[in-house]
Amino acid sequence: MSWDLFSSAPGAPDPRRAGTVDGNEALAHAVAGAQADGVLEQPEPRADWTVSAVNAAARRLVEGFFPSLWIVGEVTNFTRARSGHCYFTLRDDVSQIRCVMWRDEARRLPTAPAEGMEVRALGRLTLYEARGEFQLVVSVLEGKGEGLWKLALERLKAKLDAEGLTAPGRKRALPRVPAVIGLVTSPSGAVLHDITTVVRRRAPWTRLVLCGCRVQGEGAAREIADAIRLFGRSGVADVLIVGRGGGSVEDLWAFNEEVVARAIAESPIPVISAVGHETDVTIADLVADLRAPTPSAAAEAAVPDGRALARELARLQGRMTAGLRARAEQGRREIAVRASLIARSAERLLARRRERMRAAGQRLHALSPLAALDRGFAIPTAPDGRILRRREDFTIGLRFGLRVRDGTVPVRVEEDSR
Amino acid sequence: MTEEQPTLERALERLDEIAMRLEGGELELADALALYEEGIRLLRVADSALGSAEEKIQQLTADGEGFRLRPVDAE
Repeated sequence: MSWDLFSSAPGAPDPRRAGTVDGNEALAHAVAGAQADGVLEQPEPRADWTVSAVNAAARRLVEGFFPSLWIVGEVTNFTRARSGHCYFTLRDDVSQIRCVMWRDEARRLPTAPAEGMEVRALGRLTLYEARGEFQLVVSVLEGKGEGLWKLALERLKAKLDAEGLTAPGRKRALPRVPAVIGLVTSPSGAVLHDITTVVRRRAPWTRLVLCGCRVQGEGAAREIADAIRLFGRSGVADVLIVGRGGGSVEDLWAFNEEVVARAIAESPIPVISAVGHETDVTIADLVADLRAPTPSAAAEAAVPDGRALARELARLQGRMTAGLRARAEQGRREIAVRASLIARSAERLLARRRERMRAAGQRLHALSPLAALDRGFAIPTAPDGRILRRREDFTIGLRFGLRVRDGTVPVRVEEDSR
Repeated sequence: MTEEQPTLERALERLDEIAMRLEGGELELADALALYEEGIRLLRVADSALGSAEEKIQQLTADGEGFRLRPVDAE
């Protein structure tokens, strides 16, 4: 039978185990010894005991004789009162015992045990005087194996799943080149050193901002969540790395707590989880935008390699220059094409003009009187240049010129034709 | 994260866009030239950003409702 590798109550006493033959025998011996000492010997029934006195005496007896015991059994009827105290029953095949776990101890439970779950409880037997009830005051309750922790994880995971907080579609893209990386981790651990080393090597221009917090122990989860929220509120980082180095399941537990999961899910800044544990996936890993197996891997994922970036810049410059050159070349071609188009259309225009002028010349010639003279007509012209068109223009004795093709013939009217 | 200088991230995005538009060849020559000049300016910014080195780590602490950034020793 294996039990939790860690206990939820650090520094708890390590009492001898009950549930083994040796343990039970030792207990029986202790009780027998007490009887031998005469403590339990009351031969005559004494009169007039009050109920309170009996219960008080019984309680002293029970508390006085039983050491702290680890008791194994099944949990039933586990309830957590509003006060924070927890009440349940431990039972085996034939018997049961009422148990109470006070608030301070109950707070360390990762979750409430499931009905019928096999557990072991460390507690002191007592008697609740007001009711005369025999009960076990439990300080530590552990599931078989890592039962309670697993159960707590499963329950929280199911809850976050149901809210959609672990959905792959919810994961945001990380910035390609963050100017500032926010670190949520211990200021003293190796994690800070590892991340710094990787970032300085790959992307030395990147600024690092640390919000230091404890990453294990009680209250660590709250500190981690507060740090994530502070980054979100201040907006001073482009991406967050939340993590710690490796450790036991218990060491990593803060990263399995709901406050951390919610802070990551609500972070306006993308989050890389870096809980240095390759095999176990924490709740923080499930909710984060990217899960890195180690802090160094988280840093590698967060920043691009400077040399690759420089090569990319050179490529971009090449593309731009080639693009501009092609555009200029295209411009030259366009100009050449346009110039030849203009030249051709100018030629066409000139040819059209020439043709039109030739046609106009022909038309003018046809209208010219000179053409009529060519054909043998003559034009009588008075000395004042008037053309003589009618009979009455020709009076006896009138001298006029008769224009023929090659000159003017002087003529005089001799007789009246009337 | 100063206002007047684009971040490397923004510069790279814009450079990619500029390269793509220049390669597209649909631009007026004057626009192409203007884009090219903008690209060269961004390349210079990105190049000098790549060459710079941050040595110090800053510490973020809560300050009431606000926050404070102050330098801490790196290692």
